[in-house]
Amino acid sequence: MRAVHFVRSRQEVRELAYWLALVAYDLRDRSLNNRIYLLYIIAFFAVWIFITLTFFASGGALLLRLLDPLDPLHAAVLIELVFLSAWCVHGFWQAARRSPVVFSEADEALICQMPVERRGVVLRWLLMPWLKSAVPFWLLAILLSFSVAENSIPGVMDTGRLLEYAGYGLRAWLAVLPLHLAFFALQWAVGVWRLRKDAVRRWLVWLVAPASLLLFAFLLAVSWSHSGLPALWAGFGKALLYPLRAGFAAGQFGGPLLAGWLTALAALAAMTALSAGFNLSRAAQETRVFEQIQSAYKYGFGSYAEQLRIQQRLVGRRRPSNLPAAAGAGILLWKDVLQSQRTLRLGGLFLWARVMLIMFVFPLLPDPGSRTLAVGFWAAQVAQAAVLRLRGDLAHWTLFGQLPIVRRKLLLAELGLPYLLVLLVSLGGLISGSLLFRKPLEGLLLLSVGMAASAAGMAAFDVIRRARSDLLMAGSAPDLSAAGVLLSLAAAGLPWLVYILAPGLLGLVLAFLLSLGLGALAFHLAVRALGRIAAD
Amino acid sequence: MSVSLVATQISKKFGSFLALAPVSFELSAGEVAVLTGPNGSGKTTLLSCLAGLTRPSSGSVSVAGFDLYRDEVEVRRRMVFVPDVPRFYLELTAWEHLRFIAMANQADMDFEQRGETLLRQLDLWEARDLFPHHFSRGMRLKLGLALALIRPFEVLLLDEPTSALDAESAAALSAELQRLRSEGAAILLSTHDPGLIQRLGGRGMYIRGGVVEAG
Repeated sequence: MRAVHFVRSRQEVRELAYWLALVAYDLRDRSLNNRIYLLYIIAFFAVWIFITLTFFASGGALLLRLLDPLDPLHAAVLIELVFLSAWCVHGFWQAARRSPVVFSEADEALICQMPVERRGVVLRWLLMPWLKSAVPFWLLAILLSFSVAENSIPGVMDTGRLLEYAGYGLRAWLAVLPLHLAFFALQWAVGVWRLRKDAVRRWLVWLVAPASLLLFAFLLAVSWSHSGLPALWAGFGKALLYPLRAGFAAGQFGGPLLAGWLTALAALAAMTALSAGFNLSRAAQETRVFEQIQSAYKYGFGSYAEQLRIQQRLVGRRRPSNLPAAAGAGILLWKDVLQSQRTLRLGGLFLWARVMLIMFVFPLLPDPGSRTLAVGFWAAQVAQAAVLRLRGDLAHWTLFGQLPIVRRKLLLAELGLPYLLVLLVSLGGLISGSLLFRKPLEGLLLLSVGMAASAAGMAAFDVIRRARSDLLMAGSAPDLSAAGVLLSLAAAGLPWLVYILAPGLLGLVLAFLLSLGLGALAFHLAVRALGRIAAD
Repeated sequence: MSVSLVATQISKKFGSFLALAPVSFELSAGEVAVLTGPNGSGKTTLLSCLAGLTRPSSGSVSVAGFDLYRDEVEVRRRMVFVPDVPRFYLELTAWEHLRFIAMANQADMDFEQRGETLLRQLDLWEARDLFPHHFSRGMRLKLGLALALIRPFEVLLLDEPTSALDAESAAALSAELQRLRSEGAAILLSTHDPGLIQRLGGRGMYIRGGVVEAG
């Protein structure tokens, strides 16, 4: 086990170094100055987090009163429980499908193939993932407890009452800590049971997922004061929620705290007992790629992570697609649709949702300043959306670069589909926002046609101008740069400024023509850059 | 015999590093040229410059009288390059890749039949509905060859085509290259495989330190 401790502690130190590097602290520097800097960082963030949470607490207090005017404390418990439930149901579902104990490729060779004690490995692996998972719940609990304090402490808050205020946070944190640990350990218990010895208990997912869903639905129903559950059930549920509720309330806390910790210890004991026969090799097989994806995201290799994710998703045989296809440049559309169809996932829709949301709320924005900001944000999203597929194709330069298609047509096929989608989503958002909020349709409705083209064209120009053939041949296409986003903002923003400075029909027509002109210019620049791509 | 590929004084510099010294040569229809040389000598650089995937620092390339950069589309219709590590779209199966390339090259006539024949020849027919990222390196190389052969061409550039092939597949490839040669295709390939050099015969070109020594 000493070797296991050694490997894991190195990983923990590396993880710590990663987070500290974000605040410019170097773990390897052992100078006194650096130590003092560490103390400063700790003090700074402790104060900063405290102040931030107290700042949000006033809004939180309002929300709690809104949710339950008679008993804001009850609303706080409910909110914490909703988040815990959503996380737990998802966690149990994941644990019943893939090992929660995640091993890297190096772990697989160094640890999982060795005759090490399974229990020790599982326990040793628990700490870091638990901490990472727990912190958001701790912060939420403290924020909610501050919100409760805002409602409970009479009179004006002053520095003299800071300790009382902090006491609320400490109490809630102490209540949530063992509960979260208990649920976390139970998720791991399910995961290690699934891979116990040589069996893979795939059926567990059909037992655990609905059971966790039912349990948390029951707890939420109990927590909801008007649930109308029979007294016995309500009593049972309230007993389960007792430690959590006591964490937010005033009064005796020793009993609930003890109950919380006993629950956590029982869950840890169950996990430890089950992990004696945990199949490390199988767990490593299941999680190796997942770990690679996580690491790639963490260190900023988003494209590589996405590539791994798709590879993991697209397995087995697929019958040839029946999508209609046209010869020549039209086949690019066929490919794009097929690619989008096969990689469609919820996360990928957020970008489109943002585009739509900005346009949806646009009619509500009261002044030119806020509207200009919204247009800028929209243009940045359009730029991102426009080059997604282009970047993918450039990364396949040995295929894409050899297509016997005129550059203009090639780029038109590349940008056409995202442009139309962006326009459709934007206009959909703008029109539905106008109708829903009963506001007049905006000039942006017309302008967005050219503005989207300008933003998309400039983004494409930026990606193509920065592409290098040697890197493209190795499969690496550049991301949209900050300069590219600025170019897109400028190209889309100029017509908008003309429209703001010269309102009325003439201004609108001028701005519209300008947006079309800029769109055409951006497209022309992108086509020219495509012709020079091999000349780096 | 008509000249298919003409390279005139093409060179490539990466910053101050001369990856390829100026070289000129011609390749006639039905001719095979075999490019050999140590690792890092500039074989791939030469081939990617000829294919127009990397622009040379100097010189010009023409295929059937069309200049690579002035008449790019005409050249692309006539010349195809198969890299040593072909890259494929993650979302498309082997068969869909074949369809994509055939249709992009307007070579969709009898596609189904030609595609099946080609994949059977390359022993990929059973794997046609799989995603290439699950292929072995040899299978990926074969699919790269299939994508080249599904479309018409006059000049074929191959970068180490047998580097990951088993002996049987390598022999089948050299037979296929002989057939293409007899049909009038000009072929330039780089290889370290003495067996392939022996089987194909043809003109030898040796490159060392970016300098083509014999042509």
